[in-house]
Amino acid sequence: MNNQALQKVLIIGAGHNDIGREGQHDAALTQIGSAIRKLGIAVVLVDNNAYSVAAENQFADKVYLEPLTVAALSRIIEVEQPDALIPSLGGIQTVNLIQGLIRNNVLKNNQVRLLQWSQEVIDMIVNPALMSNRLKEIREPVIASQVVASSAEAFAVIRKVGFPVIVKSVAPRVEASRQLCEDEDDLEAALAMGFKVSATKQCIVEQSIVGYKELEFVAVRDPKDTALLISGMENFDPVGIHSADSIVFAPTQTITDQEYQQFRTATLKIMRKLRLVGACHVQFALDPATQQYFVIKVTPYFDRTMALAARATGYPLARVVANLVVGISLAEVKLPSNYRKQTALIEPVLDHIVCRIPVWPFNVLKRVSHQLDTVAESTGSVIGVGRSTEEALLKGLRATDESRYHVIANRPQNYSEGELIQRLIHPQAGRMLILLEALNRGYQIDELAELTKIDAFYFYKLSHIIEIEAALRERPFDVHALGRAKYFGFTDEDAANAWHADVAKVHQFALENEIQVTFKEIEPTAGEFTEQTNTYYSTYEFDNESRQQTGRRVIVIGTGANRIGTNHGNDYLVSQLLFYLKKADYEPILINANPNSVSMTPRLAAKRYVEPKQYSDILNVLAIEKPSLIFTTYHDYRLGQHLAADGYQVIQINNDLPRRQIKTNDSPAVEVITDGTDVAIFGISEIIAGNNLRSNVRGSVNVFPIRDKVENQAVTALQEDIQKRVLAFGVPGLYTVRLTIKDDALQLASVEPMSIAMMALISKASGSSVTRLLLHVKLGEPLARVMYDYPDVNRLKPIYVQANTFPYNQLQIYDEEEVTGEPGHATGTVIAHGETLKSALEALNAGNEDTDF
Amino acid sequence: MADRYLILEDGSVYLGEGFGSPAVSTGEIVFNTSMTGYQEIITNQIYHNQIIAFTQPTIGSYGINHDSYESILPTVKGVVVRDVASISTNRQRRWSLDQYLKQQNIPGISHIDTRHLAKQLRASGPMKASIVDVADAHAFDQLGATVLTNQQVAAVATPKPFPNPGTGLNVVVVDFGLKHGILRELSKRRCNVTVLPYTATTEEIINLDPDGVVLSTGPGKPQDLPASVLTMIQNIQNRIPLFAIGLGHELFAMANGAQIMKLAPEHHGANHPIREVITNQIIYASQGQGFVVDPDTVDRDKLITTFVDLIDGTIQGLRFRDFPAFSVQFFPDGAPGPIEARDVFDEFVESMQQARGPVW
Repeated sequence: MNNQALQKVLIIGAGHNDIGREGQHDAALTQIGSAIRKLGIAVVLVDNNAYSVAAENQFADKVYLEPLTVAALSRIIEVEQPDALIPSLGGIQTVNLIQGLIRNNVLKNNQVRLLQWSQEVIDMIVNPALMSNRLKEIREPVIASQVVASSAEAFAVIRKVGFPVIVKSVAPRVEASRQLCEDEDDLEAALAMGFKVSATKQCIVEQSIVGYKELEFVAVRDPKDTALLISGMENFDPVGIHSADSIVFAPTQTITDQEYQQFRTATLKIMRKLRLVGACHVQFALDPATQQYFVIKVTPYFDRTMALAARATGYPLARVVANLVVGISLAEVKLPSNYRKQTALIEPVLDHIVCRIPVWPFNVLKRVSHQLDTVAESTGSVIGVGRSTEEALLKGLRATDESRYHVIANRPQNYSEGELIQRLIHPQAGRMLILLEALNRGYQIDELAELTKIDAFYFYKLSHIIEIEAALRERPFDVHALGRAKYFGFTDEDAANAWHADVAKVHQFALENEIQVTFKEIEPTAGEFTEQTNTYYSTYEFDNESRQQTGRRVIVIGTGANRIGTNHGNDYLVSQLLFYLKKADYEPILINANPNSVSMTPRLAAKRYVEPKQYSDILNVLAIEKPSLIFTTYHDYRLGQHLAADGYQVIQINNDLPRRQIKTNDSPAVEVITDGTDVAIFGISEIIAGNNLRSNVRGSVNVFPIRDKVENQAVTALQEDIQKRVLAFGVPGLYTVRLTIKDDALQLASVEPMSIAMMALISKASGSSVTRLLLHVKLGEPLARVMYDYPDVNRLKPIYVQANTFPYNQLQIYDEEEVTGEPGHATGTVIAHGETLKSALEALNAGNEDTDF
Repeated sequence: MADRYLILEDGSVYLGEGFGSPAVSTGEIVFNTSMTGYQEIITNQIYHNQIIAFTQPTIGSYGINHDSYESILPTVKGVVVRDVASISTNRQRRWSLDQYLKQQNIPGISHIDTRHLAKQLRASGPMKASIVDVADAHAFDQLGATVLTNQQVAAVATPKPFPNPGTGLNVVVVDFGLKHGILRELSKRRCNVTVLPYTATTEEIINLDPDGVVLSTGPGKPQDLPASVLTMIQNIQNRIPLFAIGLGHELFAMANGAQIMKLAPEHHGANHPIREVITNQIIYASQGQGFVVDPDTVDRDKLITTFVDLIDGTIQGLRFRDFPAFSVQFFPDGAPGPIEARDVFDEFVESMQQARGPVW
């Protein structure tokens, strides 16, 4: 490949966050965009994700906040004339868009090269039947399957292979799930859904391999055909539960070297035969009885498993891929000096275990089925890292931040025997406690392995957890019991619960008895070489590797798992905070356990702790780092209060948000910032009713800036009033001052902390990061010193609009009562702009056409 | 399980929990970074008299498999891990690792900070170490006084010839403590194999009329072997196609005038990029080496370098310019580890076929 010719590349982003799109794409974009720019190649980015970090802060040379449609992309390509297009950073919908660009000859007419893949690969990704045929040609085993265009054809397949079967959509316009069908009713329903989302109105019916082990392998390949494995991962749950909804371990836990090498070889072979450049994720099903395997899916674009592989190994995956896509070989990749020279070429090895655990939207969307099946329902995930399977699992469960996962306190003891067996056979979300309870009631390991198709290995590990817990209960304030429990992942809180004692007392007891936490680096060579990833996890061993960071240390508490709701943009806020803290010569240290989070990417924070957020976990980090300041954001108000009460300097970023949709009749609001002494106005915003929007974009629409003369005059008149009301809060920060119309005149209604959505909207509309401004006033700087790059709002040309997106389609919620579009259900936010409000709303409605059905 | 200690000759003490045999045992400790294949590694005779520390944190998760042995009897002196899963969940359901090590009289120790240990050994190189019940002065005295044998090959190589019949090419494997993977790969290629003791003479080999000769892997320092081995290699290499692996490769280099030196840090893992010089392809293969060919002493008129480790530039393969004789330092049979280097066995078969001429 001639990379001399490459001067400008186009990257298409993933759009708003959603189920299956948890930020991993934006995380990849920030790293790949900046790495490619460093190689002297200009980057043009198109995205409509309001919370894209890559779309701010100069991660790209030019950013288009445009709808992700073939039409919009065609216009951008014609204007920008990029040399090439990177297809792998926006998930399946980007691949669909590229297929559209190819079909319309947009790439050909503008001489845009497709990097990484051949056009054939695009077709194979969009149409799994083509992929399946290709895999057969290269003699990789695939499941017997057939494309059908009608129910009659599907039933003909059933007559041949029998139930159960899996149905998936051909050329789905969404990241469509595979549906397991046990009977005719299931099949009819799955076909109806599958035909609906299929661009070609076809479905694939395939033989079911439910109950097999599911393995996931991630590898990289360069243009010179050098390829290496990044990580092998194993699903705790068998095939039949969507891998996004499954607990996943890295490295593999229960397969032999022969099986492992079989998958490694197959993964590299697929990459070579398909001539894929970059990273690729291959999913396999393994029959544990015969060692026979099938290739389930080939994913050569960034996804959650690649993000997990990168976080689990410490291998600089995105950075390496950035080089590969523009034609640099693995041997030529230059990494930053904290890595060893040849690290890109070393197959990562782990001396720790990583356990990824999904989190669910059920606390909000009560009517969604809790049944775990082939349809992905988790909205995010967290990882636990430890030196044993038990420790990784317990830390992962803890990091989900849901009290019901508290192993000791929350076992479902009230289930009848029948209920328990039902729950074992038909797994539901959060099943770990059910499995523990079954073991507790004396179910045999072999029996449970047979019922659940979960490898017996895990039941031995769960039994061990129960043993440790029992020992802890029996021996209050016993050094050995506590030491052992902590060694395998329990906390002060767990011990306090078992002993009915005060946590602080347990903590003190542990310290007095030298049960001390140690931190180990997550790096890709298992200690063989010196690598400095500055990423650590806790365990209770001999040697501590984490030294106190030098300089002006601040701790930023990260968001944790992506969740449904008003705070789904929180990771954007945390990432921006880290970025601007670093710019301001602070050493930001992040505590977070979300593998998909943008904030976890290697260069945003100076140092990372991949840890849960239980109080004792946080204290462990604080004991080493002794930061001058701690930042907490929306999610962690109570944690922040606790820390402040314990004497830490805590800056809480906006602590409360309206939970309900604001019922306003198109009433304006004034967006302001204060340093505690002065108030500056960003501009006027308005919330308007989002009538007639696309089905997945709902609720109200935020508009900024409002340039209406009358309103601006009114606000000017109210300026003094606004200032007084905002200053009355006495706290530097961002506020939204709502106005109402009373007696035909605008009046102040209420003042509330600005939402993250509004922060993102103003930042994108003004080109000036509101997070940066917030940070500096929170750090005590006067407004006069920080507002220098905020533009004159009256000169801001386009009108920006922003609306939430909802996962109802993915979760198969069609019940009108539940499909409310209230902010608490949102998973993402889209942004658009136009010269007029009308054209902006049109653009908003055009975005992500393929998720609309 | 009982508290036990891992003690090192530099005075370090690691407290852990015993598993496997309760025996007290002393050996040279090395760390291995392979992610899979604990059984293959434990049964590989290159680790004779050594204590293996695994950096992979959980060992034993599927027990012991009938088809994962690399020798009939393991002769390692100990197994050091962070966490042992003493269970058997493999489909054969034979033995757990714990039971197996008990049978084989090999002590294991778990709950060790193996990451710290690996970093220590990375800096120090291999050391003498013991797994003991009490870490007192007496234990250290014993450790200090223990002289580890330098006769590892004699201890593990077959004392008597044995066949591994096949219907294809006739191959003699000279056994220095071979890995079963070598026989497995030759069997797959239908070779009719006779395994001879490492003391086999040129005449004994020639008498079997082989199409090719393999010098196997094995433990220890190549200089500790009798000079007669080198004479044998010198006599064979220009008459019969020769393929040497691991220790065999080191002996092949020595027979052609090269010096062998200690390698620091050693290679025990399966993740180093290795460049094949002629194709410029990068491959991955299992390695277990404490010694290396000194590149400055290789007679370039005679030998060419075929493979190079890209991490430290060490020679990983040699080839005779004039005869079909070649060698690799790594383990091309995998078991455990990547299997992409297995085609060097095909190369060997081709060289034998060519040497036999068109008749075959």
